[in-house]
Amino acid sequence: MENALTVRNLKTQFFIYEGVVKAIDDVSFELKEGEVLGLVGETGCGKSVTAFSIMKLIPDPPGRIVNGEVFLGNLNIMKNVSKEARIIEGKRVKVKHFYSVIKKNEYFFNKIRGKYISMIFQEPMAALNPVYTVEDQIVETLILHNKTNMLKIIKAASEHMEELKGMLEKGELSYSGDDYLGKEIQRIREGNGGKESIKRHLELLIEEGSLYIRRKSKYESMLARSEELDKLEERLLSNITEEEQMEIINILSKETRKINLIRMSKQLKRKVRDALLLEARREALSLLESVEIPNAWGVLKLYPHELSGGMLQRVMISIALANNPKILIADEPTTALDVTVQAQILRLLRNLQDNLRTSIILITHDLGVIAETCNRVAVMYAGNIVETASTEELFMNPKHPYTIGLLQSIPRVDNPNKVLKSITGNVPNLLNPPAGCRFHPRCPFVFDKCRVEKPETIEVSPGHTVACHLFYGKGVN
Amino acid sequence: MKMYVYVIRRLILLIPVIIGVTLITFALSHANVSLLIAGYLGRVRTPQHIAIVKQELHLNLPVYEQYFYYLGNLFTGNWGYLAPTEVFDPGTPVVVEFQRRFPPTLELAVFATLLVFLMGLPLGVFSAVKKDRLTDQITRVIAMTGVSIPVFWFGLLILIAVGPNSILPMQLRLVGVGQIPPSYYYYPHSSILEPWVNTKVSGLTRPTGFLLIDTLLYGDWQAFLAGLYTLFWPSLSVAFTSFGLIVRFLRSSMLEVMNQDFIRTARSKGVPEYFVVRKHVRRNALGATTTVMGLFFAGLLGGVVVTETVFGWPGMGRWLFYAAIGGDMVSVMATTFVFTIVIVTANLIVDIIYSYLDPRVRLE
Amino acid sequence: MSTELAGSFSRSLRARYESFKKTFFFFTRSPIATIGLAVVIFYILVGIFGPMILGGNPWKTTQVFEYNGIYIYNVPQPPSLHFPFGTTFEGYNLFNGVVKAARIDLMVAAIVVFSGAIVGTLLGSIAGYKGGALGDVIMRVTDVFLSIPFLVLAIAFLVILGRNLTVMVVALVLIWWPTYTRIVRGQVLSVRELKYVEASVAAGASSFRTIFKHVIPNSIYPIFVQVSLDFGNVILTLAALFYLGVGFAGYYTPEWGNLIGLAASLGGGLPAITRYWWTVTIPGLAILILVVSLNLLGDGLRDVMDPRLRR
Repeated sequence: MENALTVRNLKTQFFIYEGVVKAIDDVSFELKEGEVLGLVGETGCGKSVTAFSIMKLIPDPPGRIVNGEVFLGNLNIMKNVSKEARIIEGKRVKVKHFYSVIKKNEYFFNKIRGKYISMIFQEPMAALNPVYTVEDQIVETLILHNKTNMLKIIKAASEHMEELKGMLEKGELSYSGDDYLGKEIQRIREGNGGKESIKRHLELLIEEGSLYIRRKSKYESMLARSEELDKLEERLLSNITEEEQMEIINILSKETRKINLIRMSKQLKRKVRDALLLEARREALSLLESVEIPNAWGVLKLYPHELSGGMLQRVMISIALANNPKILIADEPTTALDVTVQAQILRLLRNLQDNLRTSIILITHDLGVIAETCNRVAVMYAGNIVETASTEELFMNPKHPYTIGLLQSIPRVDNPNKVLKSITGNVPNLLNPPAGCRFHPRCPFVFDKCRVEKPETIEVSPGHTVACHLFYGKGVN
Repeated sequence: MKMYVYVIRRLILLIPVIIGVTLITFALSHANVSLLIAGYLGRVRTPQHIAIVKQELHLNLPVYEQYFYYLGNLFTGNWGYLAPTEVFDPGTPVVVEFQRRFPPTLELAVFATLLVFLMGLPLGVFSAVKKDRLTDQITRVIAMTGVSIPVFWFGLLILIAVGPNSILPMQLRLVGVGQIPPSYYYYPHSSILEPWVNTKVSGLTRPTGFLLIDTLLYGDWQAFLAGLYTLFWPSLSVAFTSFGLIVRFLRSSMLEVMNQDFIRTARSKGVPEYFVVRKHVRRNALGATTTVMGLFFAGLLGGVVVTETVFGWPGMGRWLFYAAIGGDMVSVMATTFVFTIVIVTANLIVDIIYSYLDPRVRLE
Repeated sequence: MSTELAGSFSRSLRARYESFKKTFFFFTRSPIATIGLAVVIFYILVGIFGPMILGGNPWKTTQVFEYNGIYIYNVPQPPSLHFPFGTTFEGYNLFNGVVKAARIDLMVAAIVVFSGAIVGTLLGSIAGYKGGALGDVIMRVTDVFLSIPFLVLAIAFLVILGRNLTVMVVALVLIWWPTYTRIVRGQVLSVRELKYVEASVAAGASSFRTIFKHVIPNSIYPIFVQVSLDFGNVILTLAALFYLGVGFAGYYTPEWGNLIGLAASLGGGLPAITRYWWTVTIPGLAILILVVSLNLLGDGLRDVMDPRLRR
């Protein structure tokens, strides 16, 4: 069974005035399907940068993903990174961007973001746009990624309009179905339902209907094309050759732009657009309910600043999971919340993961959260992954000196020793990181090789890897 | 908080400002009493006349009572008369003069503001999105030059280029009709706009006082287009010297917004970049820009005053100029007061728009 | 106690001075801002030394007359070797006029801007720090003054209170101080929340001392930036006031706006301006170049002092 996500040799650097910050240095890990992988480390070790690199959210000046491959299933989504910019190292490092290549890759990546890989962030209050309601922000992501469904709704609504027109012409208002048509009839009935209002509605329908009839063939061909593109997309994630992947990506990049639903929804006449929004709103409502928000209907209309941190985080989770992504990256989701809310959110994440079979990368600096929630853990230090293991194995049997130091520094109530242990030294400056193993200045077990050579990743037992010279030659393979 | 509650609160906050303004205008108008009296006297200045005027203007009463009379006059529309030293229409009541002078100024100010937004908003957005690239640098240079040009100088240069004595073909020139003061418009094809300007001669009435609207109401297309052309140049003069402020501010507020977290969230949802800018960034940045609007309008009206003088546009600015030269204090104070009220109103509108754009403000 | 205060104030100032030197070196990296600085310094030197070097009466120096059927008048001469900028109406030597105008404009602008800045800063610190009713009153007054268009208030003052230098300076200061009050108050409000200010107050420092030692040094940078921008605006307003004819000291005052206004009033309007274009263009260019340089300077200062924009 292939992994949900495979990251290989990811290298991200930031080119600033003072020099080059080597934020991520050759990071590789795997995320298996349905598991929760914890990414733990101190502030500044590069865990957030890793997440952003996977999602390609690194701001382009000054950052750059210099090298690496990221496989979604068996689809390499990080191809051509080196083609997007040329890095000239001379007196001062200069980065030349090839905007056309960047743009082309962007179109493809916009499909991936939000639909296959989603992300939730640390401070929910700052992460949501303050001038739009919760509803707006959820609906945005729904419309963006469910084009076929939306087009189908448009088509259905327009057909309903024809039906409605027919009914109104006959003066018959007895239909009472649950769908959009039923609601429309109900509205007409409530609005005194007399001859006058029927006539008015009829005129409105005729006017809007004519617009649809004119554009009908266009919408239908769009729907057909969209369904084709969906099928192509599905193929993309199955087991196909690289050439076919490239071909499909090319087609998708070009064609997706043409079906611009957001622009279209502005051109649609009111009745059809209402149908669209109704469906989207219903979906949003069920999403909010799935994240255990009480009074979901009221919350939809609120603005972010009117909600508490815990609620906002749930809203963010609902936005991230709206399109059933395969992978969810949670960047310190509970750091800004109270402990009680933290527990709720973590439990929620695990429930959702059970129901939706999403694979989660949980980024945190809190080992307690790791212990509670994760199946496997990867420990990061100064831009490198120093140890990976299952949670139990890591806590029981830590191998890397840094991990050992971390675990030892957790204060324990039953510790007779009153002095807290900590790791000596400071986190290195990534502008000029230490040579060799980046941890060597602080490592109690350091020897000569550590200062010179960067350690390889060695598998010391099945599923448990360490990047440390101490284990050289002691690997399983 | 609902919108209308916010609006009412803003209106209540308006009252102290208006009171403050009336205090200032009152203090100024009574600072130079001899000038005040001279405005009512004309050539005859015997002591008896002066005493009569003093009586009329309640100048013998204590200050605070004078203030109340002043306020009363302000609200009843009794704003005095144009001094005899005025160049145009001495002796008319000020309020009547307002009906004639206010619409052209409003027309010019609105047109200039439109131009500023047309020029400034897209440039501000481009400048921020393409930060530090060539478009950005050029835009900033143009915007800064604009703000550094003296308004009257720019107007004069325009007139040199497009005025009656320019080397451009006749169609493009603005030509004044005669040298008779009331019709001191510059416009192309004098015959077209003359009836609108010389209403006493042509007998046309001006229902709204706005040149563009009046010509439309009468269906006179040629005059409308000619009027548009005439209005364009002074508006450009005002707009070009003010839009740099908007560009600079919009750019910086957009850059600030683009660094915020929620932009990153939007990107992570897969929203394409142009849409991120259009939907998320712009709304937030525009909200911030409205805070600078008040200052902007104050400068704009100053530019309007000067431009009206240079181009001979018959609005309040030119009236203020001739009043200042002629020592007609009543007109000066009246125009100052109205200009201030205009800005206060503009600020109010801007605040309301801002609260619509950014719901957080309504909590205050 | 006051020597202590002065000591700490000067120490914090010295720290500012050190960082200022560093700022200066960053500043010179931007070529445009350096050009701005250079031009401004040039103008200042011209203003100080120019009139001394040139000396004498700027007008009535040419004697080229013409009779246009009505009267004999002095024809403006185009720029030539003898008259580098040419002459304007009434035989006014434009070069002399422009150079002497530098001194007047810069001096008046300096007085206005610095007075306005000082008054505004003081009022703003009080409003922000003390807050309460006094602060509210000050901010309302600021609102009122900001609602009056700049030029209009100045014109009103000059008409009513007489056209002399004092009135002009007072009017302009009244126009400009509100901006500083707003800025400083904003700064004070944010600095007030900082922990070290709280600590200082908790340790028993009086509010006066806190304001001087902590608040003002922190707000200096935005004030500097605003000063350099306001300089340009004051000069433009001055020129506009003189052009309109409400300036001080008579008809022939050497002031850039006045020189342009001469053409409009003495020369008889547009035909004269079109024919003798240099009388208008050259003083205007003098204004334009100075104000552009001031703005470049201000932009450069802002870019340098804004830590976010520094690469």
